[in-house]
Amino acid sequence: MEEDLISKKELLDTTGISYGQLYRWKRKNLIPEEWFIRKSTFTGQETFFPRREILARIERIKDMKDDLSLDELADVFSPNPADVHLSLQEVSKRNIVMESLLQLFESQHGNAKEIDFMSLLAMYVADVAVRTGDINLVEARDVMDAVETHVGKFHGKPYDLVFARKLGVGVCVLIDSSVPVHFDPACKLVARIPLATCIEQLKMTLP
Amino acid sequence: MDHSVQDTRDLNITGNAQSHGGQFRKVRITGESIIQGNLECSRMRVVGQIQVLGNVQSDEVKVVGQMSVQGNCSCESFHARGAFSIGGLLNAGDISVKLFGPCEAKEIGCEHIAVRRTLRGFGDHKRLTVDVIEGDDIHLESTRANVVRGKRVVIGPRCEIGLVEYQDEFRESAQSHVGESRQVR
Repeated sequence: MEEDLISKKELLDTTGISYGQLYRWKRKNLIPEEWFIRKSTFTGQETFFPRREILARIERIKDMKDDLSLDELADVFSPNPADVHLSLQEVSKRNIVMESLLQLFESQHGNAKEIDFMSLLAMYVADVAVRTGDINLVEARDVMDAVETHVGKFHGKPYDLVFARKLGVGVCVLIDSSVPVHFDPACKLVARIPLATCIEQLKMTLP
Repeated sequence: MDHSVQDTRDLNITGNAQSHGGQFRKVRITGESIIQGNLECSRMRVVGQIQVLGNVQSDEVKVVGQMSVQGNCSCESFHARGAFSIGGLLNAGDISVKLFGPCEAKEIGCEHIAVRRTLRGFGDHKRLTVDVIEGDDIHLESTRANVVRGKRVVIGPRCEIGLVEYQDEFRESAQSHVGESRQVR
């Protein structure tokens, strides 16, 4: 995948951070190892980053570093699930996902007393996709199922949810974020949602 | 990382021993040892020799003697008196090195680094060889590097540096050779 990259020098120049800060954040796992992309240039080896992701991440770190310690920040950015259990009432009170998805979840799981992070994430991802109008509520159930069943197997690796539709029938796939997907021409890619971003956003809304 | 290592134990080696590595609280090696994997700990002290066939991650690394790490070494403070060789990136908040032997790393990224030579004895071998050094405050002596980038860069005696890129301040000893230096930003 030909990505839009930014060199380390340009990154420091545009964001105004120093080498020391960049290395410090790397040590604290605020910036994932996979984003450091080595490439040979005419001046020797240089490091590049995925432009959109790194710029967004550095802005977030700069915004939040006054309120949270670096270790707490690392937890926010880590793709590992947070240790939370919320009751259905709490989820609906916090307005994390839309009510109709919550009802859908209830109808599938009976009256589960507590919702753990995985299930919450599944609903959140479905919520994101439904809100953009990409998928409908019936398809949202498939998305929730897919995320809930498989997210535990990712072991902190970044995954994307890919939703495609052919002849009106939707199908959802979970795939490594660095891997491109290609469909036949009759098939339309509806949405590709990075789970890491969802996890990050979801953690921000939790206590 | 403190929360991940609180239930773990210490690793103490006196004499000569091997370990598979893993997570520890404190690692103290007096003598000689080979770690056959990654080493993760909160504090590491080596007197003698250690060879790590993986990565090292620690809050504090202190070496008197010799250390070789095949992968990367990441810590908050790195103090070495002696010789070391790091196959990948040495990423540390504060690095201080006293050169008693050949020191090398592929790359160094840090906030502060101070490399001091020793005056005793002979030795062209007592130098730090590294491809790239990037940091905020950089003070080098007896160092051979292709590129040095930093906010404040001081090149002391007996260095050979290809290119220095600095932001605020740059000083160069007359006993050193710097191919090119330029102020950026």
